Amino acid sequence: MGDSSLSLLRGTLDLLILQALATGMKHGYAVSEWLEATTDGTLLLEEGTLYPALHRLERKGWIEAEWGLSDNNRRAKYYRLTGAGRRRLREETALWSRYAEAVAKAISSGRAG
Amino acid sequence: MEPVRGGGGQGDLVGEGRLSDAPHKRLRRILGGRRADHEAVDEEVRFHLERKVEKLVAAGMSEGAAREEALRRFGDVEAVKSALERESERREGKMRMTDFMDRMRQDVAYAVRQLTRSPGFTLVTVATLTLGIGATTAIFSVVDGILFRPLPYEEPEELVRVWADWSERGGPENEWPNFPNLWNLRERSRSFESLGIWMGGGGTVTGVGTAEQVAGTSVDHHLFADVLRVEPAIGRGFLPDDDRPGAAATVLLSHGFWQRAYGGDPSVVGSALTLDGDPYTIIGVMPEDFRPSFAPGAELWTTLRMDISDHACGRGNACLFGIARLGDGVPLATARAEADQIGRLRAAEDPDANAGTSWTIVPLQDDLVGPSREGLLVLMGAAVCVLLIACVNQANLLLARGTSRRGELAVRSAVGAGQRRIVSQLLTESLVLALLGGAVGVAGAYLLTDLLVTLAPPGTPRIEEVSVDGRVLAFAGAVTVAAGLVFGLFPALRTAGGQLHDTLREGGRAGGAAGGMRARNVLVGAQVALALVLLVGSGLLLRSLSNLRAVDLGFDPDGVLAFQVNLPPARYEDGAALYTFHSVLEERLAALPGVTSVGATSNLPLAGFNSDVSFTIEGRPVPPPDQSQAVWFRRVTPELLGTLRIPVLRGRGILPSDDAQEPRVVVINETFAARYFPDQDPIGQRLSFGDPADPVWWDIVGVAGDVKHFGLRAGGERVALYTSYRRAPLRTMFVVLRSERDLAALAGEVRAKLAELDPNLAAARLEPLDRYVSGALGAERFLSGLLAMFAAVALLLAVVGLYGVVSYSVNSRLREMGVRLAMGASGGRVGSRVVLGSLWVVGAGLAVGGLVAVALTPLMESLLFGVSATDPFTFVVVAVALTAAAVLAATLPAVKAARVNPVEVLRTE
Repeated sequence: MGDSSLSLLRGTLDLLILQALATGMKHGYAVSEWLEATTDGTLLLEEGTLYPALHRLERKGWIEAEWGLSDNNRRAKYYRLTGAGRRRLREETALWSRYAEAVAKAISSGRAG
Repeated sequence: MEPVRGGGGQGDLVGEGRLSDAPHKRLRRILGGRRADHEAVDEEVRFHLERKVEKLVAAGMSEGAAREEALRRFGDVEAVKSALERESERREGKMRMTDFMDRMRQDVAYAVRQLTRSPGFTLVTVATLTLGIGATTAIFSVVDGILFRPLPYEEPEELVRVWADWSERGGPENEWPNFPNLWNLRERSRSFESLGIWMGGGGTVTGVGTAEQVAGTSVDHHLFADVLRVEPAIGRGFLPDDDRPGAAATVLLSHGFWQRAYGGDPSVVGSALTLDGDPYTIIGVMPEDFRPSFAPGAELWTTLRMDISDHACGRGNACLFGIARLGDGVPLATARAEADQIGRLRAAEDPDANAGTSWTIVPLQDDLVGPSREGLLVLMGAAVCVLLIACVNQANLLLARGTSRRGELAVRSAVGAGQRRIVSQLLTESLVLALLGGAVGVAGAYLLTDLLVTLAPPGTPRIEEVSVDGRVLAFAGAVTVAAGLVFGLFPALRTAGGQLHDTLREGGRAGGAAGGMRARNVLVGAQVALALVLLVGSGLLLRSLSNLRAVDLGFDPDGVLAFQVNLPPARYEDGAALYTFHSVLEERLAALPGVTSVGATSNLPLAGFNSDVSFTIEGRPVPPPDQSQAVWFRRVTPELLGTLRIPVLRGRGILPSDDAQEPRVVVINETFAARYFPDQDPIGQRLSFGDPADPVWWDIVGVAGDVKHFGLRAGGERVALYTSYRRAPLRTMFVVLRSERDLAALAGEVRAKLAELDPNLAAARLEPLDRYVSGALGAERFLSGLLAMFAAVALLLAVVGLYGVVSYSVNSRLREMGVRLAMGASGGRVGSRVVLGSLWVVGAGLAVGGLVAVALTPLMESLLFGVSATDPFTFVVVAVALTAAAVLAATLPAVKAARVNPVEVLRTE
């Protein structure tokens, strides 16, 4: 992770976690793997910060947790989206796209002029 | 990376399952949840790190380097852990709240289910609570509005009423002050920031619609601006220039009059208004909420324009009022001491007029509401009594229900509901009941408050300020919650406590009956006691009222119509014009069909309108100024005594021939004769009024009977005399007509006759004279009526409560009755045992209630008339009546007991 990595905008992490869980239930480690894999390591993230975010989302009722056995038969805490979380993800995604689009448009028009 | 769940198909989920509603999970959170969370956090973090290390090792790192790299990527482990623990604490708090809300919802739903399952019980309880809470709230709104709420002025605690103190001269402590003395007090006082003076005013307004008699007040320029600190809503207030003797006449309108007479047109400011024939310039309109309670009904305000030397008002002449505002932070005691000093100084300077007089300073609020305080507090007490009875009733019903529900509750307890949970369920039920009662009660209180305001006796101070407001609603809310919690807690504890499991073993039969009965007997006893207190109180008031009704008035109001007429100086310049008008008016009214006689008087009994003069008796020494004697001076037309049927006891009455001829004559009243001529024939004695140095003598020609002039209680008459109207005409007179016809119909004809004579005159207070009399009893009737209503409700609730307890006890002892009957006891014997058993409760209640009543009724001593506060007759009658009602209530279930068929009962049980 060198200069090319971006530190995460606050609030974006929530969106990414929700997206990570959209494909199915995962434990925290799996979420961090998913993040690393899908962003090709572009996003700089201290893996530890994932957990408070997971727990906060759980408290807000967007995800729920249960203990299960992992693939190598060890106890792990799995998270999955709730209905509310799914709605939240849709809203956040739409919001983020609009935001990114607007910023991109502004930047490209600046370049053109 | 999907987890492989339950590795090797060992079942779906291992561990504790879903968090949100598993009971044992919740339990774990409540017992050592903190430690469990701590472990879970550790485990979650450890899992992450181990997986990371495994991955790195698999990628070729050494074990040690992998561990280091994993930790580096993870960040500060301890910080993350403590963040997680903080998070879990927050979650726990939220969950506890959610749990609580869940439980509440469940309890409320359960309560509502239970209550709809027994609609009879619910209806009765809610109805009694409605009654209690509604009555208490309505009475509280009246009591609060009148007694407790501060006056609606800026810094109202600084306002004081200023009276002349004549107590050293054997007069009253609150005597009417005169203008020069008030002026003197204002000039010298440093404790008062300002002092305002006012007197009754108003008159006949013409030129705006039909002629109308309008109540008003003449004020000095300090009263509104400096003392009350009220500004007109439109236009300007009174300036010092408006208030000088001889200044152009100005008038301020009340909002009500402005709306009524001018339709709220703001352009009237600056225009003229004709009051008693004189033109006044309208300078402004007062705010809508300005309805000063010390001058109720006033709609016009003019200026006093009094001169420092004006002695027109004063001693005995109910005319000037003084209201002052204390300076910032000046204690009442300081102001009192200073006023007293100023009064003494004044007396020393001018002993002829002021020897032995000083000032009485009273907080304005006390002065206004003082006379109503006792009655209102009695009402409040009565309402609280009704509320307590309703609450006791509720407790009693809950207790009875609890006993019959022990089976159901035992089942709930057996399936895991803890005792606390059951208590909270029962409490929720009683709270729901109380809230229902409270909601309906408050709705009722709105109506009841309006009704009370309408029915309140005329002259009740501040009644126009009474309304159900936030304070009142807060009170109602507090009362409701208290009723639900306090009176629900005892039955709930009682029901949930004890041996629910034993009940289950007994097969759900009502167990623990003996203890429950004892508690219920105590409650019914308390109801009887409270009912006794209320009944005694209302009994005493009713006796007072009937005593007052039986008072000999000294005149006969039946079949008499009365009204007041005011002749403005603009068209009736002098005494001759006034006299001529009344002669013609009497003649025309007497010609109306059915009218037998017509008279007029300056002072109608019980009309609250009086004036007195000082006098000397011929041949007796002139008393020193501080002992001058005064007599109420009534100017009457010759027919007055006959029309009112006031008897002439000696000599003669006023004759038409007295009108013009010498000598001037007076007819004194009995009190006068007894006071000044105890051993002497007063006929032929002579009196003079005014300056003793230059006497004008009036012959006493007769003695008339006393009339209740100032109210129906003792002191209803004082030293008074009658003289011919012709000799001393007045602008404002009361006219009375005796008729054999319907007075309501006559009233219309009287109005027509008056308009025929002068269309600019208005008949005020046109009413049958007995209305004036009942008006004098207004406060007593209002109070005793309400109290009687409360007492009736109390009696009903107590009787219902007793009936409930007795019939319950009979029902639960049917088996015992059956056994008794089977063993040969007669039905009558069994039944009378039931009644006698209940009488114990009643007797104890009566004894306690009697003691409480004896302690409380002296507080209402001043409201009573002709009956002592501990009148044994009332106590005995009430006790006997209550006992009779109780026996009746117990007899119905007793009859059932006596008719028990032993065979049937013994077989079914």
